[in-house]
Amino acid sequence: MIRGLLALGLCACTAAPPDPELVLWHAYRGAELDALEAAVATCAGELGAPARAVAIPYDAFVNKVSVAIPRGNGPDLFINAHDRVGHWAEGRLLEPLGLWADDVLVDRFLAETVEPLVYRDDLYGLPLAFKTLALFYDRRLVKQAPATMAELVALTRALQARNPRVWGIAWELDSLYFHAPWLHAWGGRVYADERDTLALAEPAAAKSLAFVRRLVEQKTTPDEATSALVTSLFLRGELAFTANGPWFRGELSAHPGWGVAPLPVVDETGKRAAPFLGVEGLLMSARSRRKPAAFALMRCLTRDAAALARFRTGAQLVANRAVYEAPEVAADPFAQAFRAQLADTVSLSNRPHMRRVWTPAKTALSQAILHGRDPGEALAEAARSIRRRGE
Amino acid sequence: MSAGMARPGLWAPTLAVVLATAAGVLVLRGYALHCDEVFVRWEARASARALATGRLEPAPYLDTMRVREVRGASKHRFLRRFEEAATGRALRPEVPAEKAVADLVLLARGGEAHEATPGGHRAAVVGTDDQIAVVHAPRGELGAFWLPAALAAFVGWLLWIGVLRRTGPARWVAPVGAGVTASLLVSVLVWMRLTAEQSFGAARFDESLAALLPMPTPVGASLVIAAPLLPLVVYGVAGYVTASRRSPHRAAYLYVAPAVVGLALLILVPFTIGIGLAFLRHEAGSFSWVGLDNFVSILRSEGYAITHPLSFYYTSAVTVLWTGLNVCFHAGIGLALALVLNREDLRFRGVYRVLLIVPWAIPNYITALVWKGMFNKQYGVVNHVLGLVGLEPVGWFSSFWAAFSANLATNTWLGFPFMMVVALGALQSIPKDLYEAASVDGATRWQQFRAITLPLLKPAMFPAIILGSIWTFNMFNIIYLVSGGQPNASTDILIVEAYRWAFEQDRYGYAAAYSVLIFLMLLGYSLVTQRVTRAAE
Repeated sequence: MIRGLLALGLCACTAAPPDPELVLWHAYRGAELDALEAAVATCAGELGAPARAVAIPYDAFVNKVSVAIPRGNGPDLFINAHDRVGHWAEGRLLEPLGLWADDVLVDRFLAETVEPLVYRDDLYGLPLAFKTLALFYDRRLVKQAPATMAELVALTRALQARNPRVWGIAWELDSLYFHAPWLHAWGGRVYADERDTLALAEPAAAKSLAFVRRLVEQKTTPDEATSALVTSLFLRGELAFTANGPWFRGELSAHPGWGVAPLPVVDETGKRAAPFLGVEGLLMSARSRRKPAAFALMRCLTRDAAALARFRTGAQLVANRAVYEAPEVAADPFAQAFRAQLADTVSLSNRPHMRRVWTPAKTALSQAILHGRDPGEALAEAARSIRRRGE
Repeated sequence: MSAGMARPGLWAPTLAVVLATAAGVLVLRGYALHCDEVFVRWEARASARALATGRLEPAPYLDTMRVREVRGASKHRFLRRFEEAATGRALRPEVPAEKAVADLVLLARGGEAHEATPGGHRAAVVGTDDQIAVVHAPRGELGAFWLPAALAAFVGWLLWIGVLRRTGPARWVAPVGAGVTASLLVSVLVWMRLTAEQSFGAARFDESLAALLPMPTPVGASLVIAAPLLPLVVYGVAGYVTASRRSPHRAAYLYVAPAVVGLALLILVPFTIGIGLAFLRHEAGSFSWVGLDNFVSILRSEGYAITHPLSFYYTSAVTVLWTGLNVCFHAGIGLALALVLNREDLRFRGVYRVLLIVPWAIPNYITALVWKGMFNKQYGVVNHVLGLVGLEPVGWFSSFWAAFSANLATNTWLGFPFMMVVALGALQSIPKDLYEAASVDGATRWQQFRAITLPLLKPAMFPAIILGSIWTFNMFNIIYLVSGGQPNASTDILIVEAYRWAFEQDRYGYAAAYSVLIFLMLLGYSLVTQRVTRAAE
């Protein structure tokens, strides 16, 4: 009935003629934007299919995609982090690529970066770049990164003996994203399996909270650290280490000497700290009117040569396997550190349920680490809250 | 309207009837399409099931195909190839028709799937032999569905004209005429439904029947209920137009029309959608009807003790406390500063006034972020000052009262200039001779303040305080940016809580119910304060 009413009343005035160009939405800025636009122009020329990259403000991006695509006004392709893939796939906003892609294409990418784009055994995007955390260190304070947390704490002791204002390692303590390396190193998980069984209240997770609380109590880690504070401490030489992402590099232009290494091993479990992995995927709208051309553009934009250009111009940690073997990238310690960390990461869930976790987890982290509540109790309450939010 | 007025011409009822007929035809067309859609969907699914189990050959006018997945086409589990079982021809994604079949087969994995196509409906069912049966059923012709609507409207028109001719344009004529037409339309709908059932045959109709009544979606159901009311609205509007043709205020109506349209589009539409949303539940992009469940869950504080920060009552108490204290500080500080600035012997008055308005002039989120920085435990200026006086640093966001005070301080800083400006304006309009007369009579300064200043400030300050309290009640930015609800969401106010439900938890219906409750609270507050103000005047 509604369809009937709409068909007569609205469609005549809103249905726009198909855009002659392929449209790609993204939220890139600065150097990343330049690299992307160059790649789109090159590919459009090669394929003989006009294409245009349209920048959408980051804050509005997800909403705009969610609203525009179901109404047929969205782009043909768009770039977004993989954590929304499940949500959009359920809403049938995304074109499954299982019929389009082939083995040669998929084998272009680091396997870890493809898996996050798979939802319920369907591939929903091609990976462009990945984001995770690694250990940034201040070369003014330490010569090289420690291999284990015990070494890191010992190094901090030595530094603090000379200058009591110096901190060991800092991150936003109440953020699950930044806590994840330690959660995973202690054997904890957010969800236990594909069926979304919540595992946040397991003892391993509580141990990871107690571990971080000890770091705070022994003054290795400052409480109430915000990202701005971390940056400012690191620039001033009052912070030896920080677990941070590739975006942190942009803040360090004024820093005289810093290095990056994979995160240290937690001695108690012998496991390396494993941060969340986020993958930036090139996704196709299920409502695209030119799917063959759009897929050809996807194939072209993810070529090794294009990826290398994105690495050069935009400093992206690209997803193509071959790029890391190119001489200039092999010699780049920043890229190699993150590439090494990639083996020890846990992909952020792309299922819709993940969205419910952040806020209750933040409360539990803050209570247990900063306000002295029993970690097990705090996590049990967070788990109850997450389940209730799911109802 | 008096009966002595000139009898109206035929044009108004005719126009109304034409519009009502158009509305009726639209509704009927929608209904006919819906019936057809239900039938075609049923036919596609039933035939695909028959084909998959090999029990029955589908009707010859249906488009049928058997498809199977190519095993071992890729080493990745998420890459797939399909081919037509009879010919072994692969389904190519580049060909839209083959792609549509492949997409549906993907969806049908392990069971069945169906979807509407531009020309009908397609269904895919996995058979026992791992082959997938795909059937496309084309849509039929609609026929003269508009005829009953036109007939109904014509009868309504005759009735209305007849009544009009006898009684003149009485107020009740439009509703009665509309009522008659509406009931005719409803009977036509019922008749159509009954004949549809007959023409499909009772045996084949079971599934379609269930889908037709009750209507499948709440929106569809409300449209069916609302459809007969459409002519009512049209008649009503036509009646008013007829009446206002002779009204002396026609020009005035014309002038306010753009504002009315703007308000309707920008406020009324989102407001209505917001209220509607409160009765729905949102899950992965789709909404379902839950009635009053959201409200019940919020008001019964399901899952949370009343003292838990996420309970509605706790948050309401915090919100009321937050609003009350803020308004006291705003009005108190604003009034005090206004009294000081109003002294004529004060030097550099202009400079002070400008400086004191500055907090108001800076966008409040910037102020909020600056204050948040000042309250940082280790590096904030507030703790630094406390340290200079020899006090221990305070974890501003680790206890409720500290975080609440931080929010309060920030918002007081932001809020007093408004009250100050209002009070200053009101003070300057108090005639000086009142004070002169009072001092001649021997009144002290305090008596002058109590008996002259305060009563004369009241008409200006009262609305400002009401407005200020409504703003503060919904002061999202400060709470979200300064304390961010810390510790443990305990300093969140209602509007922030609603935001979190909507945009952090994707529970739009629940959040909309929160917003409706906030609206009701503020509505009640405004009504009460209006009474009080009127009584005070």
